Amino acid sequence: MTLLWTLTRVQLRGLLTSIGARNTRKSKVRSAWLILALFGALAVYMSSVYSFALAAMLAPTGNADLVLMLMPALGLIFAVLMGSQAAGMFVFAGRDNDLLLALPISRLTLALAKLAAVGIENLLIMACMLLPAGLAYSMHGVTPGWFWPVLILDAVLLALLATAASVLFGLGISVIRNLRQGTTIVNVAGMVLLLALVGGSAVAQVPLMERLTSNPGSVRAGVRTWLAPLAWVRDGAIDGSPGAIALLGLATIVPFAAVAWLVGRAFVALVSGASARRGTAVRVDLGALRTRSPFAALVRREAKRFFGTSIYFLNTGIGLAFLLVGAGYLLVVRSLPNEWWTVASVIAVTPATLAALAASGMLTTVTTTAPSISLEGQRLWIVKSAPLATSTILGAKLAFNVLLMAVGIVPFAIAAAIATRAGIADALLLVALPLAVGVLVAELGLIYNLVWTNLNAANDTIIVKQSAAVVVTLFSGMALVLLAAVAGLAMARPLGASAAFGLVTGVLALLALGGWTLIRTWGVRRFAPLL
Amino acid sequence: MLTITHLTKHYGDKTAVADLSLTVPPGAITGFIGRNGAGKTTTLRSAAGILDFDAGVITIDGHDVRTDPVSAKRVTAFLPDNPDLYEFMSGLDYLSFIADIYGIPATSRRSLIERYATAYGIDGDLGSSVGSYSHGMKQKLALVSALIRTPRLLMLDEPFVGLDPVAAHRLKGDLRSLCDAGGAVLFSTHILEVAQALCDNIAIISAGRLVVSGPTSSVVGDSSLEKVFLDLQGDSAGAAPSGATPQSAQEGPQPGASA
Repeated sequence: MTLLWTLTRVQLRGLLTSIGARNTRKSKVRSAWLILALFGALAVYMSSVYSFALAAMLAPTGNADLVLMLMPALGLIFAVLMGSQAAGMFVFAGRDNDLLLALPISRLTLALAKLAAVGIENLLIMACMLLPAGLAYSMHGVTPGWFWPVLILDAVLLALLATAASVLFGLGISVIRNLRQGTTIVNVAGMVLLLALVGGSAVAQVPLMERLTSNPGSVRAGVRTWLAPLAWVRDGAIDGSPGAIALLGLATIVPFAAVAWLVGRAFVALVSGASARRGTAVRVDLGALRTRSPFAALVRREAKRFFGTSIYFLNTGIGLAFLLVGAGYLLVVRSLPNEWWTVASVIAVTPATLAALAASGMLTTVTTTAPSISLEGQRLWIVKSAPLATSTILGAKLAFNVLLMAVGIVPFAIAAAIATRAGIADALLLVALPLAVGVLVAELGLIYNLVWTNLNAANDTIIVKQSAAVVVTLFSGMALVLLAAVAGLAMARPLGASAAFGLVTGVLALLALGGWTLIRTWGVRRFAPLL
Repeated sequence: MLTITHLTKHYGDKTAVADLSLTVPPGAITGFIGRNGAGKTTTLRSAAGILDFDAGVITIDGHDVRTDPVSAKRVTAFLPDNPDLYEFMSGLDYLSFIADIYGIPATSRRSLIERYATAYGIDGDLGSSVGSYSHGMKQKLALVSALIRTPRLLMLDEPFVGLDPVAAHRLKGDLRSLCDAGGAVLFSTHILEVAQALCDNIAIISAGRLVVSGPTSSVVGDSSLEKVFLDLQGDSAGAAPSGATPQSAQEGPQPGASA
């Protein structure tokens, strides 16, 4: 037990110091806790928004307790989404695996320690999802003395289940990645799955809400039939049912134990699976060699890293995928949904302006620059020892990000211009506003990554999903679009919508120019000591 | 070719390199010897322009590494002790990337890649992902990427670690050829027999200070490099062997005969 605890602490510390973006061990751990706190805050925010709205909606019919069935489901999805990639990379492809396997430790102990590190992250998410749900319920229903302790116990148990599921998904990802062309398969399959999940939930959300309003009893019956553990969460917390608590314990501890046993049994085979890729030699035709300028070579390198690194592609390519899907949709239907026309007329802007703002929002997720310096990791010596000006290296990172944005925004702008029957000014705005926002956010990503550089992360997942630079860039992008929208709307009445948002675009373009100047001066100095 | 003058580098309170001066002349292979943590890697990385230093001047072929880094790096190739390469690229992609960065013309690029990849036995693996390479293959790919640049100065940190005997033999020949063509080589190693046999000049560093440097024959004398080195570690402040130059009155090492 002491050994397991020691190993778990080491794994957790490894996870935390890898997440941490600072250079000293102390500040790394501090910043790692800050990032974990940000994740917790995000979970609390999501849970609060949905929990309080649902509880207020369901309370008049006496169904506020449904919140304690629905929010655990959302928590599980969130935790599994967060945990799967981390499990795939951290549990099965951690840099310390060789070292750990060489130690005289049982594989089960090793597996438990690895799972515990992921589990603690999942526990944070589950607790931050369940506690606001409990609070929302307590405003409309009776909370007996056991309510909060049982709810906390439920969070622990659901975290075990989420961890088991995360590790199984992570295992699948790891196995597929070890196949030939596995990285590409994982990339494309992951993107399709994500689009299906987001698209599916968007489609299902309205009917679910209608059903919750008109016939909440059927939702309750459906949960009890198909998702019984979620009902046991409610029964344990509200009714204090020992049977429900025991059943939930059984339904979560058994899968966790089974997964820990499975991982323990197959750990060596899974970890060494990567070596199976060292297959037959692949000869190439040297006659097909092409020459490029150093700058083009650097941009191409960024592209290869983007498409060849699953987690990077999936996380920073999602906005691009949405834009392309949106462009295809608009080209087929040749009109915006009715709600868009209504909203546009209410806030007195043209539908094209609304589409431009939506596209800007999408582009704020296409920030390949934010993790790009940290992703250099121990390979930074290659460009640092090359005869390249630092501004060229940083410029190539920015150029690739802008190129990627253009690939999404140009077809979307054309499709949206056709769908909204936009005039010249609005058509230009459809390209210029998202691009100005996108360039500025890409620059912010680069600047943040220069501030919070982590060249020693255990794997790419930690950098792309959890590093300070990425998280702060994401929030900055959202804030920027919000500010642009508020400023544009404020000026829309005196100037007219197109002129107002044209002015906003101009200001953003000027800020982007300032951003590039900052990168070429301060950024170059900041890059120099990195290694 | 490479002139290091009064180089000093601190990591926090720790002094990694203290007032080190060293010259690597063209046409010579210079071995850089020292214990772990003596300051070899810090010196090499500073000279390669990838590590900032606190004091001193480093010039490569007349170009100051600090004030004119791009020109200095254009004539240099540096390989760290454990070269991490881009695992998302194939071997050929990586070599093409390096060739593009160093502006190697299309006409010579193909023949250079073919020549060195074949010589080091990785020509059949250039289409595979670098992520699937073994440590030795990565080492060879990194070496090929350095050699196709035909650098004026080649700096290598522990280049023989991880190489098979055939590749190690080939590397010795390539280092000599590079020097015969007017280039210079500076490499660190713990394999003292190789250093003694291959190097024209030897520089020994201890606790961040250059304790002795000079032509190999002068440094070693009638003894062996191993004995000289061990003696110096016992008394790093002691007198230099006959013919060699202590750091306090160092002269530039001389181009020497082939190993």
